[in-house]
Amino acid sequence: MFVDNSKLFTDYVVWAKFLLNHLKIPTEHSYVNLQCISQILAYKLPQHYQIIKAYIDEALETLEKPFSDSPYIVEDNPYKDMAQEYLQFLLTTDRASASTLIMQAVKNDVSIKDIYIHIFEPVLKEVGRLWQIHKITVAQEHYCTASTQLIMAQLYPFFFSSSNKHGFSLVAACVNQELHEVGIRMVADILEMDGWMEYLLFGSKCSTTGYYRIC
Amino acid sequence: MLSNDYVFSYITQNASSLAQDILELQYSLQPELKQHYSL
Repeated sequence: MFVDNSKLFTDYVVWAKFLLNHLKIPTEHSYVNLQCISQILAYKLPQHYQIIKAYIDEALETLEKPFSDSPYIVEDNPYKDMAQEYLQFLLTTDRASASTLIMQAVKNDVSIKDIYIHIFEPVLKEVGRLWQIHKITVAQEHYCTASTQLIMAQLYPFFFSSSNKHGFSLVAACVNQELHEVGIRMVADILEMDGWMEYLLFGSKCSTTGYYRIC
Repeated sequence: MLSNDYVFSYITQNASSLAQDILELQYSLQPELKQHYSL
């Protein structure tokens, strides 16, 4: 809502519907849930209800559309093979080989940004999809995420020395109970590579009050 | 945009209580849902 873009919300609704379906919870519950959200917010924020209704209506429409369950490592990914290999290393709990693969790519002049965008991002999305369809466990998903965060940390010396600073700053955080910090960390890292002067990332579960205080 | 900002802030700052209200309403409409979530 803050960025006036409903796609974030509708994407999440579709993701949740897909996840619930795999847990044998029918789509009907997602419809009712959206209607409940609508009713509660209509009561709490009557003067802003039209804004909320637009989001709810779009989400309800999106629920009716078929959901694409295709893998995230796609044919036109310029580093498709490397991404597949990286994924396999993680799924077989071979973090050392996954790390070696990435560090070798850096030596071979693959840019850090390309590694983030064409390897880490699709692989982590694919890991999430595999968890969603019950092909891997939560423990495996956590291993893949933690390993990637460790390997990202190994890459920091390669972009912290960037001299292309332009004066913009970013404060990024996972607020309240949000535990999934790797996505926002990747966004922050890429902005830093693009010359943002500084960023502060407080990790997951940053309180909203603490976040406002720093801003 | 100002209205959007207000709605966004209200929802993020009251997320826990809103979620509780929404869940209670949904449980009242679909009591069988409790079985799914207790799995």
